[in-house]
Amino acid sequence: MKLVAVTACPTGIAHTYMAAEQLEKTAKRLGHTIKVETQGSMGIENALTDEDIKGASCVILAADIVVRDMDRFAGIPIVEASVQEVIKYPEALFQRLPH
Amino acid sequence: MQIAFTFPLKAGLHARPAARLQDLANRYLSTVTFRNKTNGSTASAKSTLALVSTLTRFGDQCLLTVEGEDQGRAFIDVRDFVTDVLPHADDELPPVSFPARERPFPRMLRDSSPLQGVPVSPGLAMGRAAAVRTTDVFTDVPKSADGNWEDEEAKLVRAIGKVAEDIERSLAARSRRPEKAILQAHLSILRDKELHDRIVGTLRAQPVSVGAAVAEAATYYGDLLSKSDNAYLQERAVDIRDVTGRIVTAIYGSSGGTIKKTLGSDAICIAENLTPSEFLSLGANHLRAVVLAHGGATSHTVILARAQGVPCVTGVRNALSYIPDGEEVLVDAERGLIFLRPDTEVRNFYKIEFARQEKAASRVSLISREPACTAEGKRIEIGANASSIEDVRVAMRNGAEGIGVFRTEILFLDRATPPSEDEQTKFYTGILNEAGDKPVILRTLDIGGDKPVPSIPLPQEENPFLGYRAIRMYADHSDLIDSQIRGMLRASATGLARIMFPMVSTVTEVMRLKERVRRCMDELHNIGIPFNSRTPIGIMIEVPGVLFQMDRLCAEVDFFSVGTNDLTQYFFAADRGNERVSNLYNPFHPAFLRGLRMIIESAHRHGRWVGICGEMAGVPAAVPVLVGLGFDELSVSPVLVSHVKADLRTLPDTGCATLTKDVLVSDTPEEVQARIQVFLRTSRQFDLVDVDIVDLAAQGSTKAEIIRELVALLQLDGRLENADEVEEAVWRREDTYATGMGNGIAMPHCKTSSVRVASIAVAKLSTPILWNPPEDPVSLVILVAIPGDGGAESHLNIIAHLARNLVHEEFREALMKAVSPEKVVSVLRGTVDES
Repeated sequence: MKLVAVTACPTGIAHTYMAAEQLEKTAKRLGHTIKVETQGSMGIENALTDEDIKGASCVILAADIVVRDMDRFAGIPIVEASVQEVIKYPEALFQRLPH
Repeated sequence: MQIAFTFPLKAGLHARPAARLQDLANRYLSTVTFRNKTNGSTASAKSTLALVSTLTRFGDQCLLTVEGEDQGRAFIDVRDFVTDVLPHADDELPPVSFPARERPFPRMLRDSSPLQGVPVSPGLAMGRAAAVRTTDVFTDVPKSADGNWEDEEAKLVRAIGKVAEDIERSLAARSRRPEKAILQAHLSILRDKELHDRIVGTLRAQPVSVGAAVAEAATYYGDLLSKSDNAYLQERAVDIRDVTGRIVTAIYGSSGGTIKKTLGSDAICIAENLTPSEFLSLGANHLRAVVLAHGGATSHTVILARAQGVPCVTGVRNALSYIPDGEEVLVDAERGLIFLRPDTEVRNFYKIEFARQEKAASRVSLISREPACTAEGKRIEIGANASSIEDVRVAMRNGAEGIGVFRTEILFLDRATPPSEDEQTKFYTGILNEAGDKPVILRTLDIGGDKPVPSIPLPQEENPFLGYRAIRMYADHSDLIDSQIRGMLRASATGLARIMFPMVSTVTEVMRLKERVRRCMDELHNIGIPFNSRTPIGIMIEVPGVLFQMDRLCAEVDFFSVGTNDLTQYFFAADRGNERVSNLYNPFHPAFLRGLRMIIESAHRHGRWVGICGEMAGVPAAVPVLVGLGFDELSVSPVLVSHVKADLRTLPDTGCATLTKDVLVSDTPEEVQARIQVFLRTSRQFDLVDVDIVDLAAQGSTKAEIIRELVALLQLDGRLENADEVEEAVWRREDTYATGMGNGIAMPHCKTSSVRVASIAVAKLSTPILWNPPEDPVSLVILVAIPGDGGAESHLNIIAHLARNLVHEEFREALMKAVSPEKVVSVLRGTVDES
């Protein structure tokens, strides 16, 4: 499955990046491709392009704050989770993805 | 004419709005009656006390009635008050019954309710309360009247007038509105007609003294208000006691006697206020801390407490009534908190704080053995100010490299006749002996109208600080001074003595003093008594006029020592003990600093040594500037010696020089202080991870304790501006979402301006704890602290990388398995290098 994701947490210092790493690691293990944009203290990194978003079967939002630029995901199924949940129980999150 | 309304203030009808209504009502002849329909009470609006006594609460239905010949105008005013003034009467006041807290409260202290005051001498102490009482004003009041009731009433009227004058005076000195409002409320209680009538009523009915009648009124209104279920009104009982107490003191005078109290071990002295001699009579042996109801930050008692390292909190109103004698008390003179019977949580918090202070002390004591120098190795002597042999002993123990000023007045105090030359010789020899191979600057007698000495009668003066004091009186007391100088010279045969004269204003004075020394030397020489004929002679710089005679003075003396306390006071013509002008007294003012530069430049041009022996020398923020200015010596209180030596070690002298150039061209003391703060924050180089901020055996058994321990670790290493604010920032993040990440690891973090340098602190826990009960057992905690003001971008990248690494098992295992702080640092540094 082709996935895109955005992670964001209140201070954006640590957990944004932990969640991103966890998503990448778990996706790889489960045989998905994923690109994760981080919205943290260093601003937006690894930004999702229109190309990335086009054809994605699902958007994962791992965020404890408001995610910026939500318009670009119009028409794509969105799965939301807290950053904490993604870090601790990544498998559970992937089970929630639409098949 | 009537107006009905719902009472709008959350705090109820308390003294301040009542006072304003009273003021207004008293402007008219009409009667103004306040009625609380909810509880059925009624009061004349012309009496604050009567109004407050209605115990009116938020939401009560009220009615104001105006009746009389000028009721038309009065009603308009009353109506405007109800609609426009009353609803906003509390807007500018701090929240009900809690004093405004500028600093956040550490989490572990949240559930406690300590008394609060102003910390004036830092430190922590635990002990038992020892109440030192100057008698309660009401108990010593005579019960029966001296004359008839009219005489007693006359006393009351005079006293009220005097207290009113006092309050008016402090009102004029205050600028903050809440303080003014409270003083005004006190004033209106003082002038309250009902209070006055009650007291006079008692006087007429019974043959009692006015004091007893005031006491009766104090009890009556105190009880009435105490019964209220509104905490705010309950506290107003204290206002009544305060005002009535002042009336009684104005009539009978205050009965503060000397203290005859022997302190038990670990005593926390609790008192209204202490004079310097009362403080000294307590003895330092068992005294752990002092808690005062009154007393300013620059009072001599507080300066003494600081010099002796005794923690002190002042401004703890009613300390004596709240803290029972013998009670277990914990004093936090860093935050200004006093805990009675501290509970386990509070104790655990202070266990961490005490441990941190002990560690800091042992680091400092290591440094105190080394010669004092800057980070770049430039030598600056750190000396101590002393007035007793005990001071010299403490100074030497703390690594002092000399005695910058030894005040000899102590030899002359508390005795009917001055000490003989032999006695002085013996005393000075003892001092030199105690100092060993370190030089001692012996200062000749510095007394005057403000420092009376029984054996030397001096006239009382209007203005002693500008009067007949120190060397100015030497000509009239030649024998006394000569014997002192000979005593010093005779001692000079046995150690490194230097002689210094206080309060010099002109070159002519110095010539006369030198002539005096020469004469003393001749006398000793003629009778064959040994002395060091090359004993250096120096002067104190306390008088601004001296700055413009430096070139001539350099030709006459061997050294200078700047007494910044007096020099600042004379420089700005402001008495720092006078709270109305003490804001002018500021040694950080750039003009004053330029004066210091003048002194040093002239002295050094002539190869003369310049020390500084005022309080400024021991102020951490001043040290980098004093180094930059080029002082040869900083002489500080004996207990500060090792701390100043430790601070000095962290200061790069090139940085101090640049800072000093900047502050000298600043406009205001605030600007100077701000520049210094930035300098202190940025002058030291820190690594993001370091063995000093890794604790592999953290003791804490709760999340709060672990967070505090980590913050304390960062604080100990000098990485934080303010530990409590950093802790609070960490908790704010935890409160939105606990930062446990599973796998036994938590990564709390914060970004705040209270962090000086980006830091990663690590704690391995002896026993795992629940980070976010009931889940998340954690045994490794990584605290990330980032400065708020930007400039940390490169660090953010590293931390993001570290966070990503923590998701991988191999990395976590390497961290968990690390057995030494070095290993932890190298695993974390691996991350640093990768990114």
